[in-house]
Amino acid sequence: MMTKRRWLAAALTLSLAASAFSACSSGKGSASSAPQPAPGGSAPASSAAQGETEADGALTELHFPITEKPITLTWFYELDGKTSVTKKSYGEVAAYQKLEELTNIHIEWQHPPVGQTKEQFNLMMASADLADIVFYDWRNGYPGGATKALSENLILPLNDLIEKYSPNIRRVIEEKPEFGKDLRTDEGFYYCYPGGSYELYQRSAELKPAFRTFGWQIRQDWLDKVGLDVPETMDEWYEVLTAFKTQDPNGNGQADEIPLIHKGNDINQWLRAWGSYYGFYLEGDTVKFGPYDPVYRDFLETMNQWYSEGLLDVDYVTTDGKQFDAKVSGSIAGAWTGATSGTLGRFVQLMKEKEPTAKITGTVQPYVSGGKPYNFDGASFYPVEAHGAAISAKCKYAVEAAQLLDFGFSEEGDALYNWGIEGESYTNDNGVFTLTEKITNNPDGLSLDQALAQYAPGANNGVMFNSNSLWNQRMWLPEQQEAVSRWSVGSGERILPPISLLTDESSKVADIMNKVNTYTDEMLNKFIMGIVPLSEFDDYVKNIQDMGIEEALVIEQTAYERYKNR
Amino acid sequence: MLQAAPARKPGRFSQFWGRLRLDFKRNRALYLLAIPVVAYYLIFCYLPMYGASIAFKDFSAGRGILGSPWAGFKHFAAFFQDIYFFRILRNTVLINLYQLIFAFPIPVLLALLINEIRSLRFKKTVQTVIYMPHFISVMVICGLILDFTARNGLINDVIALFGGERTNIMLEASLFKPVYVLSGIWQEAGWGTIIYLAALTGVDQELYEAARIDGAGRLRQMLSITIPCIMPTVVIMLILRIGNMMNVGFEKIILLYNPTIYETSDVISSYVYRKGLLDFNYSFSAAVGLFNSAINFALVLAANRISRAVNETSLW
Repeated sequence: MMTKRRWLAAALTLSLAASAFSACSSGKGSASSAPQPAPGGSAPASSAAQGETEADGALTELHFPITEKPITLTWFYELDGKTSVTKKSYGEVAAYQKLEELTNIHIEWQHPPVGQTKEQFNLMMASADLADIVFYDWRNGYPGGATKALSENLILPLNDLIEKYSPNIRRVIEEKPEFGKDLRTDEGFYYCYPGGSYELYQRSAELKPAFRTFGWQIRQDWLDKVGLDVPETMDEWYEVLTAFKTQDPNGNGQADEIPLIHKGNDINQWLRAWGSYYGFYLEGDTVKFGPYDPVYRDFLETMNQWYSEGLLDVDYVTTDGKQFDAKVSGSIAGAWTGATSGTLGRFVQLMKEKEPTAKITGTVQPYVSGGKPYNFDGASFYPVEAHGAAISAKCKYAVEAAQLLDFGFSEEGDALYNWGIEGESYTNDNGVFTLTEKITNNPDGLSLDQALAQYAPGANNGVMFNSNSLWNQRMWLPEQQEAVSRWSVGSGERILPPISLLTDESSKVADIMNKVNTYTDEMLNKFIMGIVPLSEFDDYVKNIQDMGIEEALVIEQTAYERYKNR
Repeated sequence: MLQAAPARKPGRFSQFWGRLRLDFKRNRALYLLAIPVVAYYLIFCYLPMYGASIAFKDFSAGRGILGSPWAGFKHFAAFFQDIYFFRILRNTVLINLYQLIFAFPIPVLLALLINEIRSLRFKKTVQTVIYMPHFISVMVICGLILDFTARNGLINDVIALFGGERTNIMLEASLFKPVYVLSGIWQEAGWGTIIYLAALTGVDQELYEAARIDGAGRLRQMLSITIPCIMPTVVIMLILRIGNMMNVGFEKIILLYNPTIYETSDVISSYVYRKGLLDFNYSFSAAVGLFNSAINFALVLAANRISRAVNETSLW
């Protein structure tokens, strides 16, 4: 009897403990209901009225300090990896400290933990408790996009605020109508202060953009050894990769070369050689979906051949960043894709010590023989970045926030955000800006971008136009210059412009694409690795069709038509 | 005679309140002590439950939980009709079933073994060593697993040593569940022994003495005394475990899987993570969570009833 009771007590304790644990997962966070209607930009000009104004009360330029009475604004902003090397918050970055000093506005930075930005943003939105300023991908990051966030009264429509209190960005919109077009929703609302590039806004399909951030990379010294030119067409690529495989270009007497390495589903980048794209893209005036195209089969066939012949890394699916680096720095990998500084620049520096004879270069976008190279580097052709700073509908100082965010588009703000502090991070010789030795050859061993990030967000994304000449000074390695010039070849006509979906459309598309993406991601590798034979390609197409891809395509097409008519 | 009838028959309800009031007067201090715990449960466990209502709504951030429009069983229907429903359900249940069959008995056996160790120092050392993996973060564990299972990893080195062919284990759909369950055993088996070791200390030593006098050997003592004495704990742990049949933590899954092996590795929680949390479909997540909880609850009730009928041990 005694033991029985003791066990009962133990059991009760256990069940209490169990329910305490399960309780953690049941909290959904309480959302305060019904936010007050957004006043738009009609807030009284309170403390901001001291500037010069036009007859209708609009500012013609910013005046500092923005407010006499010190105020505090909260700002949700992902801390860039280049900054987090040395700083815990943007509050420690010189440019932002200067900004606070200048404007008399204290900024309380809200940095989500690394890798959790999306979850943190979603939670913040779900609780309708936004920071005053939210820097995020408003085009794709919030289902329903900015249109939905506006209709839910979570963020402010900025039309009036820009008109009255943001003279610099207003001037840009007047000078470059295309900029305004990409920045607005279909309904004509401005919703964020973006990042982007001013120089790029003479848009044409064959333009040669400065900011080439991604492309194909190959070992030039291996090419020299096997006596081949930098490959362009898929046939040339096949020849080069085969030579890498068979002719022992790393010269260690073993056939341990992996001609082509990739990280997981990055392999889909080769689809671009067929003028298609792993996602939605534009052909003429029609929106298409790459993994649903007939040419997708050709792509799979080629990749499957490369895989079975050992040209493509057999472990590409499970390769992570660490293994990727090891394969390149161990002189086992011959070609790969990646970023200008994060991949190419880093590897060039890394190999300098490990293997001085190694030389890495870029290639043009691969294309099938008889075709032409296409570029899908969206940011280069539609330079209003998807990321931008929106103002919360609950922000008490919307007028001040509008001026604060406008600062990046002024001449002074441009210099501060791109270059940092004069005399410390850069020198100004009659308008010619040059990074100092402290940045380019950092005594603490920081990379150029990391050193600059101590002073300014010039190498990160920000609420500003990225400076062309800063970019060129950042990409100073001859290898980078060469690669960037090759990557600039290629037509951007097939990139889908920044369209925006309506709320219902977006939840419908999200629902369809969630299934489709799970399926295509899975099948991509199964086809390439030969787990599923290509004879089942028709079934695969049929399955995507059953998941409702046609409906999603119609919706995307409609949104594209709306964009054209903006 | 009209007035007497209602007054004579106090309902069970008022009887209850009467007794409660009396009891409260007698044990005022005890009730005061209980207040924080009761408040904890009300505030952190019961109050948030109203949030579960978003499973029946089209949750919109701007309108909030109460203001969002009702959507009926739309999200439940969407889940059941999802083309991946059976796949993720199968994977979830199978992983749990494997854990129940292979992982659940290990801590019991381990605890029995540890209990038989006579050298106290050796016993403490073993305990410390086997508790250790529990404290390693799941991120690190998954990094280790991926390294060990890679083509040039430890496991393949052993396979190659015996003349086998190197393969990338995490690309073999059929091997995902074994890897998941085995690594789980490695990490949690030691920690799991704590509860059983605690139960073992509660076994009356006189029972052993009596058995020794009757001539029972070590094995006999274990079979006839130790095991029956810790059986209630085992059964209760089993019932609680069964109440988790529909849950697989998504962290370890999403750290280990890759699209090629979705077929065997995608579970309800990882799918909901992709669709609900990342795509901002909270109503859908809530619906799936509610569905899971309902199944789990039913399983606990059933296990409890069966256990009570069969061996007279039960949670309540």
